[in-house]
Amino acid sequence: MNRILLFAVVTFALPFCGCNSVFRSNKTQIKISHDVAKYLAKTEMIINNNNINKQIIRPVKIQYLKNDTQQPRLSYKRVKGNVVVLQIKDSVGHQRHVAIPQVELKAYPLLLSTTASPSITYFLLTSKKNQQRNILVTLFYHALAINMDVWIGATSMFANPNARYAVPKSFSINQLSEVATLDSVNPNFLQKEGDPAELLNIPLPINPNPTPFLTADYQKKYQCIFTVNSGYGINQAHSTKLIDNQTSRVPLPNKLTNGMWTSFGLLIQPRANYQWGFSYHNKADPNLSCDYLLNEIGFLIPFKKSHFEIGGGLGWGMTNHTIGNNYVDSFTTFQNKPVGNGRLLEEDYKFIPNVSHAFLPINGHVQFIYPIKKNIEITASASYSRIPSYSDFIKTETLLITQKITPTITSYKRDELSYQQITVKTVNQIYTLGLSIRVKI
Amino acid sequence: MKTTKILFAISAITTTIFFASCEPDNTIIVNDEISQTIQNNKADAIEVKTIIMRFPSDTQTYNYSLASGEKRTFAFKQTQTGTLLKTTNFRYNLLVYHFEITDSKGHKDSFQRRIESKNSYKDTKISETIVITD
Repeated sequence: MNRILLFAVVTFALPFCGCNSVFRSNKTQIKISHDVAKYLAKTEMIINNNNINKQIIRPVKIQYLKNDTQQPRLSYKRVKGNVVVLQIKDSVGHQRHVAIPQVELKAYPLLLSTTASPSITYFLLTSKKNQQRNILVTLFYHALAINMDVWIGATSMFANPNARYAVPKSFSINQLSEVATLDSVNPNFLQKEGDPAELLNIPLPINPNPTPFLTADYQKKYQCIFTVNSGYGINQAHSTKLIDNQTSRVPLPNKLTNGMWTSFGLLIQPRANYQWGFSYHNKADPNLSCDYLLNEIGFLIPFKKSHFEIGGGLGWGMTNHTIGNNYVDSFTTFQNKPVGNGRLLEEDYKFIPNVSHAFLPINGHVQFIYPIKKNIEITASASYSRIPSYSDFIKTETLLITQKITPTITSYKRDELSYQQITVKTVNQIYTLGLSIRVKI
Repeated sequence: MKTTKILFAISAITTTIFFASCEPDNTIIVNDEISQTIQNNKADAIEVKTIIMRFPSDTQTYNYSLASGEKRTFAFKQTQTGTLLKTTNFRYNLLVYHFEITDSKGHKDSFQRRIESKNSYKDTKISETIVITD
């Protein structure tokens, strides 16, 4: 279980945290054409943050990539602002100001509460030893983690306010006319442009190819998607064991039955090929309550009018059995030793209803998404989920002794040797085929 | 200012939980459940005299008759609570049941059964059923 958990955490931490400010380059780049690069090479360039009250100025350099087929780039250290100004000055003192759009990048917050806390909580709450103390430790841990996250998060945001701003990848400067300096004192310029102050009146860049994720003024836009899914899950029990080294000589069935699963999800799609969000899953079963919340990500691959989505998730769930059977059997040995003539050892398992167990579900899925209206899509999905199920019993081991006192008087004695709560855990692999509706909000 | 107040409140809760979690829990609860049942499976009624001696000094005597198929149970139940530091306060229970049975023909049988609680501060749950047949 530890290896699975570690693998899942690493797998999901990489895409979530890979774009975090901590890992981002401290520079951003603007794609330019070879002609523009050749022209700008003879000029001096700086970027200002377009804020009179707290002006920040960064030098700008031209970068030529090793591969000649790629466009050269202007590079500068990141600076906060939705529109920054590229100031170009040539050798004779003529100037040009160009507005550069920037977008604010969002990232999964890399904090204790969002990474380690769910796993630590899971292990503390599922441990059968010192349960009351573990609840207090969990509360204490969360209070401490939130404390640290608030301080560390706030400090890192204040310490590094510029790291989250970057030039959108689709923005480029290809025309020489966009950057050519203007002779503001030339009478012809005055006649043509009317006023030298025109130099300071910088037109805002317009995105020629706006998308649902990048507006005409180069601002990022998200799509929120609400999904409702229903599917039939076929279960395969992977392993069954008693937790905490408990033992049983009586088979205790605990497998989840096949049946319907429903889910509701709220997803955010920040880019054409990526989405993430949360989904709530529930099994329709009268004998069992099984609910879990999944933090999932998905990569979208366009296919004609539709998309394929390949994704997965890791989450947090609670399950409990509401109805179960009792089991009993008798044996002639106890702790591998014979109990003797006229004696039997009875193992009795009395089902305990409504004992809740926390678990970490793992999910992988493939979806075919087909648009039926502008904001409505239908999907067919196949998913694999790994979910444990638990049954709790009171196990009593009772020595049954039959003794003839006289030919007409017999004693039947029951001596309870042990009494303990045991938990059977089955890891279920559930293969679900489902249909869902996605509504873009 | 508002942020400072929230942070202060979180810190105060954290400290309270930390100190509240430090109290040791050494309580032991020991349950003794002992029962003795006598059941008449004879065709006729029987007369029974039962003397229950709970050591060291408690004795009770019962005289009763049991019709065919009838039974009578003497149950003893005790819960003792203490701490690991004061285990000497726990009482060890020893019950001795003395039975004298007279059937409808005047035939007498007597016997004695002994049930005692487990040591090591474990729960005891023992039940015995004595069945009288023809």
